[in-house]
Amino acid sequence: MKKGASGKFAQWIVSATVMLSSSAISVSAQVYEPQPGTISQAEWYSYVSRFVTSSGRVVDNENGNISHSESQGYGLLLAYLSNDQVTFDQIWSFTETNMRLRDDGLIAWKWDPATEPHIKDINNASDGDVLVAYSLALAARNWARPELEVPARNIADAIALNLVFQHDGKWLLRPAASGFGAEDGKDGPVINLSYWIFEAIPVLAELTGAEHWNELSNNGLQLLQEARFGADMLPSDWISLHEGVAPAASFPTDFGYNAIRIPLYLIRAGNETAGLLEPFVKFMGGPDRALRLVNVLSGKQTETLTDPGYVSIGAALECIFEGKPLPDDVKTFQPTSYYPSTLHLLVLSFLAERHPVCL
Amino acid sequence: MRWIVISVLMLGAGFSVHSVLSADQSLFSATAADNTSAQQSVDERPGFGAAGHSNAGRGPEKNDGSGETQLSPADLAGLRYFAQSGDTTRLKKEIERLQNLYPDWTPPEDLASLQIASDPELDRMWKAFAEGEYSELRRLIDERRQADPDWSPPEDMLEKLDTAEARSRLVNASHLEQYTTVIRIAANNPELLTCANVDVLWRLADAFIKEDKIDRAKDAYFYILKNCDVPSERISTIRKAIDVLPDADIDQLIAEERLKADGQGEFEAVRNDLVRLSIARSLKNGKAANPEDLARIEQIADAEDTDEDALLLGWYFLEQKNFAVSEDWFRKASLRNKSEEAAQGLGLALIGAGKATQAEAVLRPWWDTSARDRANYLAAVSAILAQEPREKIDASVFETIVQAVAKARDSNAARQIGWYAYEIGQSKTAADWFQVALRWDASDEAAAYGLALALRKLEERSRFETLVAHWSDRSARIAALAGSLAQKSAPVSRSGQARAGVAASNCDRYVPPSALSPAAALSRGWCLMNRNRPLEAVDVFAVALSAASETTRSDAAYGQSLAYLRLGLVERASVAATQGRMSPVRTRELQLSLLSKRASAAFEAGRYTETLLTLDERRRYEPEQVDLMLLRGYAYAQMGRYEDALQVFEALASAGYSDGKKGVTDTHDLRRGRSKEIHD
Repeated sequence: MKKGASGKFAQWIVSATVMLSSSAISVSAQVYEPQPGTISQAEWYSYVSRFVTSSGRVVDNENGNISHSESQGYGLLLAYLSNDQVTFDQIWSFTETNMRLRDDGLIAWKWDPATEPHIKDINNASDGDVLVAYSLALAARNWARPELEVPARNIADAIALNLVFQHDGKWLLRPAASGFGAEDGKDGPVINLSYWIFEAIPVLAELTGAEHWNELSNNGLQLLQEARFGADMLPSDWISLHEGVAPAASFPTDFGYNAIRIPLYLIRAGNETAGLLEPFVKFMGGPDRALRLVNVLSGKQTETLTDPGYVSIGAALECIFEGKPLPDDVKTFQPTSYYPSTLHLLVLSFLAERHPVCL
Repeated sequence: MRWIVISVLMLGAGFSVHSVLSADQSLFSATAADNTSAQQSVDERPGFGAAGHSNAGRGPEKNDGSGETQLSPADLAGLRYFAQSGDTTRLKKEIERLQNLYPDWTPPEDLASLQIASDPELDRMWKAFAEGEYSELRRLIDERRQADPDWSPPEDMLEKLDTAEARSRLVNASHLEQYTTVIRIAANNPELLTCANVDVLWRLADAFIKEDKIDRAKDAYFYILKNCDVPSERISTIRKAIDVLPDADIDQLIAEERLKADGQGEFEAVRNDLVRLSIARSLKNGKAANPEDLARIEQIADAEDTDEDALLLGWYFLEQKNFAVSEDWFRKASLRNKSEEAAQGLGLALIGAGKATQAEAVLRPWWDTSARDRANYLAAVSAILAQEPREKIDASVFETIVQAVAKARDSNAARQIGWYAYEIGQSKTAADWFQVALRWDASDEAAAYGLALALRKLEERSRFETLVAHWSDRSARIAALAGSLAQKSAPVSRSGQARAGVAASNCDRYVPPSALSPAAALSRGWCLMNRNRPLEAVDVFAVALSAASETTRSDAAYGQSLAYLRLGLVERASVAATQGRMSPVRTRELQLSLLSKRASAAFEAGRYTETLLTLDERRRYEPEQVDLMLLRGYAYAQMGRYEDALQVFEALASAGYSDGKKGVTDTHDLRRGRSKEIHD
């Protein structure tokens, strides 16, 4: 049953001073809370009509039309940014009813329309949980929907309890409740820095009151300084902390589909520090308007992505740091595939709010 | 907050949602409520009064004149939709719900009259609800609210929607075995836990079982049987409970049985399950079952064509050591379904009944299926090897036995194979097996003793002496063997092959029998017999049968029939015996051997009358020995001549033979089993 709101969200902007002890530099970052209405109705409806079913499922059309906790989380965040409570409620209804079933209160990571039962693997994916809890919390306070705060807090509590862990004195985020620990493989613990959704962390911290969130942010930023592999100084998607910081050998050692989100999450969280973003600006910008994925060890290019959604991240970095305007086809939104289109809307929403000059 | 009123009304006395849920304290902030708190008014409950339903205060209009309650169109919208769509199940539930909510309200007789003030958008919403399109319903509500700020959904619609989503989520979690989630959802949605959702109560009970909260599960089942009325759900509840709850709890649940209109108990349909449960309990405690229960289940088991009850009875009678009846049930089960379980049960029953050879054959195909099956198979093998008189074991069977013994590294069975080989004269094989038994269990004194005897027979002096020296301080009987090899007085078997002198010539090298003179053939035949190579001896003695000398022919006929006997070929042995005139002593000796073998063979083939006739004939030449007396006893028993059988066995038992005692027991079992069969 829905409980009365305590209404303790009053802060609109949370400031955080981040000390990067290892590099002995200090970065001051302002964390902004994104506002609803930064995605236009037209953009949002074109997204919804392509990727959201009437049952509230956000569909990954390039992956057998499955849904992830991540896609549901992105759907919620985008619905919030589009100020669309109707679709938000639908997506949450589906997520809650069909995916948030784990005994620990976290969300099963994959829902497949082709299998019965639709969930075959009860494991979670931490970025999905973070996105969902974060979006619920934003919706609860900005739409005065106190009933949404309850599940937001429950999921945030479950994240703090089951996913935030300490290794070598650092507070870190497991990629999932099971499978990535020191005991699970030769190169464990393995982490994924693109699961650090920096903008969400202060919001989750407020929900749970647990004390390690701030350290989680700081340790993520510190790891970003250390995880600069190869000539391009880029992080790999999966990083082993077994001995020092290294690309995890049990995964492709690529700067790949996961890691391309890291600069987006940094700037969205208000962290526009040149020192942190430099490798990304250098690598993801450039005149060829394509996002390259590379093996960070060999430097070999694995894929070249030209979808405007993928290109938009580098374009945004170039605009912010070098003042270059966005290419026209990146400025406007046309839905293509679930993943790049999602990233595209997140970029556009962010620029509309904080760098309108880029548009 | 009307749903709480509903749930309290429907809960009735004796159950509260919290009493089911309070087991998991960590899930609840509210404390466990006792029975009376279920009657509390809603607003007194902690945690609920302040909840944010804006329309919670609204109630139905009370018409003072008639005392009849008039419901608003919004209240009736669901009813109208279900009536229109012809969804009679939901319609009935909705009427029940409204009646519980408004006891003064009576449903209109003409449901068509509900068509007033139709609201197509609202109908669309109810349609979405009825079709389980909950997400779609949320969209419709949100959209209409945005379009018309004055509009709000019927107060029960959001509650129903929340409940329906919670229900769906609970079912999903239950499918994914996320039992904590199931319990948590139930705890947060007590309105789900009513007779309208017996399936949810079952799933909750199941979750409690899985989380080891048996008492909570029992409460849920108990609640259903106390409060809910749908007969099929009540019966299913008992069925489910039988599978998971301890016996005492089930007895309590059964006490909630209601009588049907015809006066029969409603659980009559599950009575058979209850009886099975009772038999299974007896099986577990090793106690005799209630005869009525037994008779009932036997009747069912006979009538049906599935194997489950037959298996249950098989195990029950096995536990009761009524092997013959157990054997019958397992055979029936096996005919209906050739399962591993039926085979194992049958095998054990046969072992129990002393039919080791049959048991071995039944268990052989499964010998390597599991550790338990291997153990059962080895039990049958042990029984065969220990059988008196010795039975010939087929070579292919022996192969399986050896495999099974080797895989299990069972020193006991290895030693028994040793004795078996020793007694059929294969001393070398015997020594090998005794050695194997000792390797698997170095402290097996009996194996060491067997090895000593075998080595002595093989005249392996140095090994023999080392062994005896090694064991003499631990085993008196092995110590007593010291020096016995030197005396060269190898024990002489009854058949008198100790013609070592005659057969002194060497027969190790192969010589074609046709190349031998009759006299040389005779000598070689005895040599081969001494080396325990009866198959070759048969051919060699055949050459000797062509001798001109009457004595040689007689000796050859005698030798050949002994060779056939050793091969287990009784009929051939008796034919061979006729081929030469033998001395009366030899004829008698041969005759006695032949008759013993024939009696055993007849018994094994189930020809009991012939067994007795053969034994009677043999008894004319010589008083019966213990092994043959046992054979006679069992033949009587098998023929149903129990008194004769008992006379024989009791005589043996009183003379101190334990086999006699066993015979007495077996006879009683057999008689009991048969009378049961006749009775059935």
